[in-house]
Parts: sequence; structure tokens; C-alpha cells
Amino acid sequence: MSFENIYETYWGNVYRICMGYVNDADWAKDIAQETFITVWQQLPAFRNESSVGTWIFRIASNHCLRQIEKSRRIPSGTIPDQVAEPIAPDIEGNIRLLYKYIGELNETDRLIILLELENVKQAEIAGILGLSESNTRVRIYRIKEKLSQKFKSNE
Amino acid sequence: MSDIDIKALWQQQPAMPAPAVAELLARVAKLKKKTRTKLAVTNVLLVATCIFIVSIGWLYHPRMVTTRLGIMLMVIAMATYLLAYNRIIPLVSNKSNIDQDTHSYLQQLIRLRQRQEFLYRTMLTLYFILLSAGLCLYFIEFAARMTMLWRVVTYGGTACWVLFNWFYIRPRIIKKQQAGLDDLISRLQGIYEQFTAE
Repeated sequence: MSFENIYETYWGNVYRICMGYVNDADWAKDIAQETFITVWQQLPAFRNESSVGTWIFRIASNHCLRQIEKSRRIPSGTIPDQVAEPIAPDIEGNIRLLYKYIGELNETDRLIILLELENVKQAEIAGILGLSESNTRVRIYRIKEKLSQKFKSNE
Repeated sequence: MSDIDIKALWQQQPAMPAPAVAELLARVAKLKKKTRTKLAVTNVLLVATCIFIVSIGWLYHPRMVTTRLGIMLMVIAMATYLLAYNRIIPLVSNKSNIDQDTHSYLQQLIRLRQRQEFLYRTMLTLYFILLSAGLCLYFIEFAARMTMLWRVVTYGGTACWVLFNWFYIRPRIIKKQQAGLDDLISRLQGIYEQFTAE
């Protein structure tokens, strides 16, 4: 798989994970770009021990965590100004809320749920983050419960 | 709102088009340029230090070897300080495997920062020892020509200065640096604990 292919295929997923993690469009773009710079640099050394996706999501998760070193800004549960182009108002509002609620989770939970929302398999999420599969499954369940609760209490 | 809805909601976001690959490559080029500039600065600093040491021996002819040694020690101390604190000498290798799993990566990051904390403290102590020793050696030649009273004044003054540095300035600098790193380490450890939490 060429770099250009990888870039086109995974940019959207990586960007959304970063966006969910920091809740800031410019900052998320920065992290996503850093992720792909690492991918670009390390692609020649990449051996297919894991799938390309797992490998890229690992790099993205680690870049997200590293933000703690670069900035004193702590990602918080603020609503992002620009989610994207306007969609149907209630959907857009709900997406904003979802971003806000995800931002209120702790760092690890944020990564777990973002990977889950991007349709990454649970076994892969466990491999990306270094958790056991059973732990991952339980945590995804709990986080979803927590998010649903937040939506319910908002209604 | 059920689980499925959350995922469906997330997936309803319009796709964000990827910026042109060229933009990414421009960033790589910028990064490379930055590394090159840093390398150039290191070389200029090193050459300047060498010229400085040589010119002292050339222009100024101290009779005693202790004077030269003293000057050398002070210059080495200053050069080390300069290089270490501008992070030109990578005290701790920053080469960490960013493509390992997040749990291991975090562990590595914490270890790295702890080592950095220890090394900075050691470097600063070394700097003060070298500087103080250099200063004392440097004064021997001049003190030899002085009357007893002036010797006492000179060495007394120097000793006071050294002690002031050691007991007041040094701990203050260490404390200031430590605060930033400590904060970072504790935040990293906070995240690390999230992994073990049930």
C-alpha cells in the first residue's frame, strides 16, 4: 500500500479521533498531520505484523497522548465551534453534544470510545491501547452507558 | 439514546477531506530545515568555544598552569551548560517507538522524563562544581602576588560567592525546572493509572 493510498484512506478516521480527543479543529489537524508524518517516516520499516490500520491508530493514539507534553491546554469538554459544514440542525446539535460529552471523559476512555466509534474491532482496540480484550469490552460498554446517560439527562 | 444511535450519529458527520499531500511534505521539509539549523548552531557554538580557549592561551600568558586550568574549567562549565540547556545535546534519547501500544508507550514516556529530571539535576551540579573549581584555580596566580590581607579578602569573597551559588541559586534553579517536569510526570502517571483502573 503506497503512502498516498494510506493517507487518503485513513485521514478521515485519524482526524476525527484527534478531533474527539482535543475538541479543537486546528489542533486536531496538527496532530493528524504529525501522525501521518510519522507514518511517512516509518512506513519503509513497517512489517506487516499488525494490520496497517492498527499500526496507524497506535501512532495516532500515542500522538494524542503526547499533546500533554506540548501544551498546558488540557482538552476539556467544550463544544467545538466548527464541527464541519452545517447539516440538519438537530443532528448537528447532537454531534456537538457528543463531542462535548466525549471531551468530558478521561484520556483513556476518550481514546477507547473514539476508536470504537470509528468501527475499529474491539480486539484491535485492545491491541492498540495495550489493554486486555475483556477489559476493553467492559469499558466500551460502560463508556457507552455513560454517554447515553448524559444524552438522556440533557433531554 | 441507545448505543447504536451514538455510533450512527458519529458516522453521520460529513467526511473531512484530507489536505493535499504537498502540505504534509512541506511540513516534513520544514522539520528537516529546523534540524539543520540546530546542527549549524551547535557547530558555531562549539567552534566559538574552541577559539575562545585557544585565544586565551595565545593572547594572555599566565605563568602558572593553575590559571590556565581554571579558565579551561570555567569555559567547559559554561559550554556544557549552554549546550545542555539549549537541549542541543540530547541528554536523553528522544527516540521512543511511537508505534508500540499506548500502554507501553506511556510507560516509556514516564521513564524517559524521570531520567531527564535526574540528568538535569546532575548537569547543574556538575556546572557549579566546575565553575567553582575553575574560579578557585584561576585566582591562585593572582593571590600569590597579593599581601596576606588581600588573599583572605579574595578567597573569602570567592568562597562566599560559591556558597551563595551552591546553597541559594542552585536549589532555586533545580526547583524551578523540577516543577515543570514533576507536573508533567504526575499527569502522565495519572493517565497511566487510568489503564489499570477497572
